[in-house]
Amino acid sequence: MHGFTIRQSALGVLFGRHAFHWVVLGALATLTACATTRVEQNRQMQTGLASDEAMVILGRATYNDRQTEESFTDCLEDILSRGDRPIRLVPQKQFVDQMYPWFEPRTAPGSANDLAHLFTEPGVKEQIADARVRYLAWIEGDTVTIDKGGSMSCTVSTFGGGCFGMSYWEQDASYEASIWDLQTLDTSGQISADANGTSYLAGLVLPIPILARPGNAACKGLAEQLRTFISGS
Amino acid sequence: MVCRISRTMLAGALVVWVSLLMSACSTSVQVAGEVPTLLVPALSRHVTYVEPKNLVAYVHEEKLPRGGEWSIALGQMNQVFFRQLMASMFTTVTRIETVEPSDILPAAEGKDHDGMIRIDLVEYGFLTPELSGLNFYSASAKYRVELADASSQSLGVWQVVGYGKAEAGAFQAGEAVNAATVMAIRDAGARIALELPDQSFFSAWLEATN
Repeated sequence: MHGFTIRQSALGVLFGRHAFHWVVLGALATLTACATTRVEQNRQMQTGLASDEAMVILGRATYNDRQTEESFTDCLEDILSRGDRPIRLVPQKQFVDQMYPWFEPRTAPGSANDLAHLFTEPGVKEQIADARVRYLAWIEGDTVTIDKGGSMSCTVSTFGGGCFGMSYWEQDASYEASIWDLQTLDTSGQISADANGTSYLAGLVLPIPILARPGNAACKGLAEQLRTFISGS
Repeated sequence: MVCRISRTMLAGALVVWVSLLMSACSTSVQVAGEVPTLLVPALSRHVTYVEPKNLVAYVHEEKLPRGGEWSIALGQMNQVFFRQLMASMFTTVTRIETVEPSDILPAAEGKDHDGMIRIDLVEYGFLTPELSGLNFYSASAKYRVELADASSQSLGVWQVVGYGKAEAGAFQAGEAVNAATVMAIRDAGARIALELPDQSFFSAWLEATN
């Protein structure tokens, strides 16, 4: 009982005397910076997805120093499989395993023409038909930091510590989805999403991040456009 | 009593601190991943798959200048992956294990088969983002594939390099090296499945055993 009283009064000190500061810091920590997004679409064919048909989202893997982040394709899958008009998706890993060795970074078709050639290989057409996969969306692009600056230093001493200063970084997220129709073995269209935003880290005793998250903005923009594109509406 | 508890706690904290320091300097990876089945028709041949001990017990150990000590155990993944690959590539596979060096094939007495295939891991390497300057962990695995006829006479050797890379996540170096290594093994497997039949010594053997 005595211990409880002590704890209660400690909490009272923490949230009572400094409650206002905690609320301000909490509010600052949840601040988000702006990200500007631009989505463009190029339709080459009519599209539509039956209720039992599915789509696969594949991140284009290459052997150079750039690669679509797995977190980006995961984000697209997450948005497209939910909402008012969810799309049936075959998970990327499951599809690549079922199609082994035809969708590895070295062997994956680079164009719709390559896809038509791949369909002549024994078992490929049947496997895709069994999985009821109608569309394949190849995602290319990445998020890069194009500018950064400012300075911030943090110190810790026996009398306390804190961070002072401000730093910023500007990121550019640029992605393109190329949609292939596995029934007609042709390209249905392309959708591109570009987002740009500057994030800040302000040192006001505590480091307070104000994040723009352009990758997330590009994902949301591309996913919603992809949903509209595939459903044909 | 109070003094004894404090000493125990201090000793415990010291042990935790030292273990944390040690674990920060060394990373141990037991490579594991999905083992897919080939979507390629099996060749109607009966082969003996010679599985060397050094393939299935392979552990890569390296001390990196700015990346601590690494121990990467690929053996188990090699074992399950190449057993599955051979089983998917040929209609009938008999497996034998060997401890002999790579240039020695087991005798063929009493074996009713069309030929022998031996796969050895010759070289493995990996790069961290600190070393490569890229935002990826990458791995490469070089395999030696030897084909012999039914009487254990070597028909040809083909070396194949598999490559893989994985995103660098904060505090997930072991997972990224695992993912890159699995990709490298899969890449080598894909090349063996698709390119080995095109090698002249292999296609000649296919014709001879038709």
